[in-house]
Amino acid sequence: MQLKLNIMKKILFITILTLAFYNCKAQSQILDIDKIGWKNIDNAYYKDTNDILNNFTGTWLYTSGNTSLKIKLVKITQYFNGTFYEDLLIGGYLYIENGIEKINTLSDADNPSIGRNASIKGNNIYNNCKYLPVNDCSEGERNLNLSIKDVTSNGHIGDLRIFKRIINGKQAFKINIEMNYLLVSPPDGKLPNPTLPWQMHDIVFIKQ
Amino acid sequence: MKQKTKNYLILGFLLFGITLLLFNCTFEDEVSQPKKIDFRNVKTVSFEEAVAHFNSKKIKIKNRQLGYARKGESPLELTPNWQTLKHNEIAYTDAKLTTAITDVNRDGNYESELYFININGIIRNVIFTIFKDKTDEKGNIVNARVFFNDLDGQFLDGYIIENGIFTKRYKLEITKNEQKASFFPFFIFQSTGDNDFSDFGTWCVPNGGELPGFSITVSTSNLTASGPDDGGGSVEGAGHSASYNWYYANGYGEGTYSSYINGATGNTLPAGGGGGTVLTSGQVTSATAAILLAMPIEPDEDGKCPEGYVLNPTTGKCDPICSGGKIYNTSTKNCECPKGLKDDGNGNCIDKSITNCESLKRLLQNDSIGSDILPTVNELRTKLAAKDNEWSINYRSSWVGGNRKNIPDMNGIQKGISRTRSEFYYGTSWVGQIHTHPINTYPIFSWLDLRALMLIYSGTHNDFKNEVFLMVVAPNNITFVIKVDNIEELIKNIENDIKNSKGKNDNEKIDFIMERMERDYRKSTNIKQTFLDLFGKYGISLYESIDANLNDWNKLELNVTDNQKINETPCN
Repeated sequence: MQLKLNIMKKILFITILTLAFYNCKAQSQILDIDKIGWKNIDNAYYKDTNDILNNFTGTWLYTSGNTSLKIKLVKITQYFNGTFYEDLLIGGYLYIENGIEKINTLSDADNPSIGRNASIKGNNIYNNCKYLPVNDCSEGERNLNLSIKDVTSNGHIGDLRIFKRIINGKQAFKINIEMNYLLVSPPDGKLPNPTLPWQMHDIVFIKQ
Repeated sequence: MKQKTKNYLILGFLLFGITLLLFNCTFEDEVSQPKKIDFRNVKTVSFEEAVAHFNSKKIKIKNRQLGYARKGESPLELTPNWQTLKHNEIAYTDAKLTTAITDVNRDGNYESELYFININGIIRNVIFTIFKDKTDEKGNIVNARVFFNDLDGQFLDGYIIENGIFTKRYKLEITKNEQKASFFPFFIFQSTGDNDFSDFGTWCVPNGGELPGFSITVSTSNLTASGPDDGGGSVEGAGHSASYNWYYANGYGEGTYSSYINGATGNTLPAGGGGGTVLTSGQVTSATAAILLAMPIEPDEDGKCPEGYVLNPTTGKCDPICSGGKIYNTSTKNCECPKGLKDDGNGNCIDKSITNCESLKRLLQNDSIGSDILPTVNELRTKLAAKDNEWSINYRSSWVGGNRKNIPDMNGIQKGISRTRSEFYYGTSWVGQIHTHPINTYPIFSWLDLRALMLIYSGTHNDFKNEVFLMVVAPNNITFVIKVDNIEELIKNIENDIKNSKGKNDNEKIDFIMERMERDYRKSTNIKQTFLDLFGKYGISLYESIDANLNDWNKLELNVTDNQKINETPCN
């Protein structure tokens, strides 16, 4: 009986050891999130080592008359996208145009497991003003480029450029949105319109 | 019992006979022209060949009693005057149309000619008939109706000329037993040229037989000059060149069928309904020859298609078995590229007669074959401010003054919908696009630009593939061009990128591709090196203009031994 127990213990030990090694191999490398690029290392963990993404989480509201855009962002860690692990900002938004609700995906922020399937997602951290900056961008400031998906249309995904600001003592975002149409356009080049505007420039969001 | 069986047999044969008759009377859905008209293998028919061909056909038609006629009329008979044989200059090809005036045993105020031309080794021979309804004092045609019939009298096609423009096409609609209307061929040589087709039912049978139960309505459809990019404004005359010897009959961006026909007369189409002119007999011949070139091949008297063609059971016409611009070689029994063209490895024959650098220079030339793009590029350079969207202009191949050249879209420079997106067109005649990358965007091509190049290249006609380009105009007089070297490689890489990307659908996968690309662009200290590192092996070449006037270009490639360095090869 004692012999059997010992054998069982050994089997259990080996199994745990194997699993531990397996996990070690699955995340054999931890790299800074900035290392993500065109070519990436399978199963590596691209970590937000400086917790930059944390600065952008929360619920943010832009209002202009009867039109408003509310954005909710949360940070998820070690999300496996099928190739590698990554820390990620995900979220949703509520777009109201002239008093009419056009899109509401805020619940995406409450469901971290959807990862890159969220309507807002990304972890592209800039420290320069190279691409679609807001009008007061300063070289060296940390800013984000996320993707914003128009869930009511098939094909429209845009750049969501986020710059952190303090306005009247409140935490704020200054944002540029440039929508794009990523599917093959028709031969005559005429693209369908997204539900969100094609462009929104230098709009200010206040943290809620 | 024996009698009953006999009766059933007789009934069976009768039904079989009627079925055959009905089958023969209900051929096709519509008389239509092929989408693509390839002039590369159009040849002149010699006088001797014309006479021999006609006589051979005449014997077959007579032996098989195939001459169509109204009930009570004698079978159609043609008596050509071979003394009138001549070769006529026509548009789009160096080949000549062989014609001979012919008498037809029908009364009417018309003139008929036999037309002969050799297409892909097959002699096309039809009766051309014109009713001159109005002429000017010099005998030029103002209004007329023209018809094409097969030698046995079968109707092939018909058009109306108004004020010197081919404006309408005849459309015959035959209703059988009050069932759903459909299109059938019209079998009669229309000697009166009027629109009274009410007794068509009595004409459907060769040699004046009778087939009741049919009614026919004749209508005309407009040959419109409208459309997003109709040739009405850009087909500036008939013409042809040795290197660009084709035309597309219809479809977006290819110039319409109307432009094709009227372009062959040399008369420009009236814009917005204006215009108005006359046609000389030579112009009519040129236009009607263009129509003949566009007609599908008919099966012969035995219902068989010529070698290299296969009967299309839907249309009843003969479709070529070769594609991609290839021509059937009756000796080798293979589809082969015409002389001077090469298989691009994708089954398409392409013109490799000019290099990438030569085609770039041609874009700058302001002569009869150049596109003179510098003024356009300079105008685009004024639209690069931080708040500017992308601006773009598309180019297509077109006939201008008898030459083929790349001309800008008639709508000119267009404002894009965002700072990262502008319109590009693709289709058989579109060859390229120039667009801006304004301040605060990356001054070089994106993955989406590569896909656009792939679409333009894949969509354009084989003869234009060498011309295909995509140009980016960026701040500080930066100008880049990409050209396709190997379309298979480009398609493979684009497809692999999508296949290997992450996302629920193509939209999300492409978003992830763009995100990864953008990360490398963001981190880049040498955007050209980064572009070549990512996409240099996608079957494309990258060129950069050395000066603001775009006189000189360098081909940029990564150094084989040190991929952080770029090799610059001047175009000169």
